[in-house]
Amino acid sequence: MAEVSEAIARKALDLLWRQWATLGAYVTATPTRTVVMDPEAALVATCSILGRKDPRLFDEVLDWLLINRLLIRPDRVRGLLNNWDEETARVLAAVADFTAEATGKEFLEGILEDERTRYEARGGSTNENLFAVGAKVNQSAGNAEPAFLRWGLKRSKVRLREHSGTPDLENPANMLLLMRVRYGKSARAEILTYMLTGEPGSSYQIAEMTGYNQSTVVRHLKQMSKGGPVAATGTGKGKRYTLEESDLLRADWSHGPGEKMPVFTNWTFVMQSFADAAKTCLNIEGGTLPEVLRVEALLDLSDRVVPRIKNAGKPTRTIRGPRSERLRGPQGIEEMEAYFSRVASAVNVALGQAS
Amino acid sequence: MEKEQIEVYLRALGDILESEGAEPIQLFICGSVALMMQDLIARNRTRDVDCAGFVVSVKNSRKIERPVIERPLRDAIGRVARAYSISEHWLSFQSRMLLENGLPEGLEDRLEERHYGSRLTVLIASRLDMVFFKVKAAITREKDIQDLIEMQPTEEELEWAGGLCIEQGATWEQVEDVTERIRRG
Repeated sequence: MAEVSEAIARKALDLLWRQWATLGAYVTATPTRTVVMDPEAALVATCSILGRKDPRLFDEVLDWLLINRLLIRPDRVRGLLNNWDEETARVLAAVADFTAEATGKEFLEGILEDERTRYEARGGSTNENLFAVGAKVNQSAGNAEPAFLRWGLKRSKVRLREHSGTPDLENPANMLLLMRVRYGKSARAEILTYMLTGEPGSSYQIAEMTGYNQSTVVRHLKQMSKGGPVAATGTGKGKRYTLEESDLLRADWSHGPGEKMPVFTNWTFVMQSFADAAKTCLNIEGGTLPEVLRVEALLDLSDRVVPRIKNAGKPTRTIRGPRSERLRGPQGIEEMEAYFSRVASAVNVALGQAS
Repeated sequence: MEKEQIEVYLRALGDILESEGAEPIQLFICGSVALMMQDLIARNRTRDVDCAGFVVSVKNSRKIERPVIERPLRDAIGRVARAYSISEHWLSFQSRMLLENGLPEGLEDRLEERHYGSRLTVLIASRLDMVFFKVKAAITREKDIQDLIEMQPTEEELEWAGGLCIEQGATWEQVEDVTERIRRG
């Protein structure tokens, strides 16, 4: 019985489908126009326990990478990976390996090297199935995908259909990608996107929301403060950064009359929390944990995910966390599921109704 | 905490020690909890589980030592408190001074043993020894008289316990006062 972990993962996958639909992948989900998309966050989440539960989505993302791999920024992927477990990094390395092989071009080479060293240090091959559910795996070596097998992950050969499109830059939700077109490969695109669609904040908050380290963000904020669009108020830890003439800037970046500015969401915080919950609940559903360890696992999970979900952005800020007295009871796991239902609902409201 | 919960908390403590691969621990319990766990009194609520010492095995015999609470046990006690939203002092060591005046001879052989996994054993003072602890406590503490009345000690048990109290410094009058009040009920 693994009902709650599956239900939580399913809710996360629904959100992930909409992210990829917005980014141009060939998936049957309604793109959003109201929440800023983050391709690196979507890619890493797809390589997590969540994406491994959905072979169809996983392969559509491989397809998407064939033509869109240059949209993925390695430095951001590396930064975001710090939020995830080693298994996710290993799957991402396999995806990078496969993409490099399929395109004949380097992809996430630095990450590949790091992960290869780490994988070999752990003793190499584990030979587990890549997909946790639903995959029809032909175990014969001849049918296995070599790039994944090199990372100890068994899966059948990938059949790329080349159906994927590119992200629609007219869609406000892809504002981050449009910013990158204008500002090139620097953290500026993410910082400005956050400042236009999010809120003023300290360099720490901006770094946390954009997935860069604080020193990189401070460097860019300082540069943009010198005759640029950014103004700083306060000093020391109280220093806050805002956009000067923000109305003008927003008008400049808006996608036409009646089109609202999308809201910024830290997708890594959201998706990683879902993955963490799915994994913890799966462990509990195994039925071997004594009561005290089950309760502790739920309380610890709550301590980890509730602040992250709150800090992920406006759509999830006011969601009530699970009640700790209920987490301690026999229905604790259901209380956690109810919390993630509220999170999924709030994010879906922000994304707009799926048609 | 209630009697049923004591079992839950001790089981939880044992499970945590087990999951951490901690060194096995044997707790010596002789407070009101010992009476409750052996159904010697009807009361089923107590403030904490009071541990007087650790039991160690030396050459096939038991020895009770002053408790030295090391990190794994302290952490495990705290984790149980967090999991069940109870005081960090649910397992206390306040009665460890009982060891200072010496324990009744043969107490170690009369202990009742209960296992909570392979890493936690609780050793509970027997009824006879509890009569002694309670008579001794009742000399200075009124509330212990009620427990003794409920226990309905025999004359033999009271005589043995009283004698031991006098050996440990109590006066004949103090002991007689306690035993008289128990007899009156």
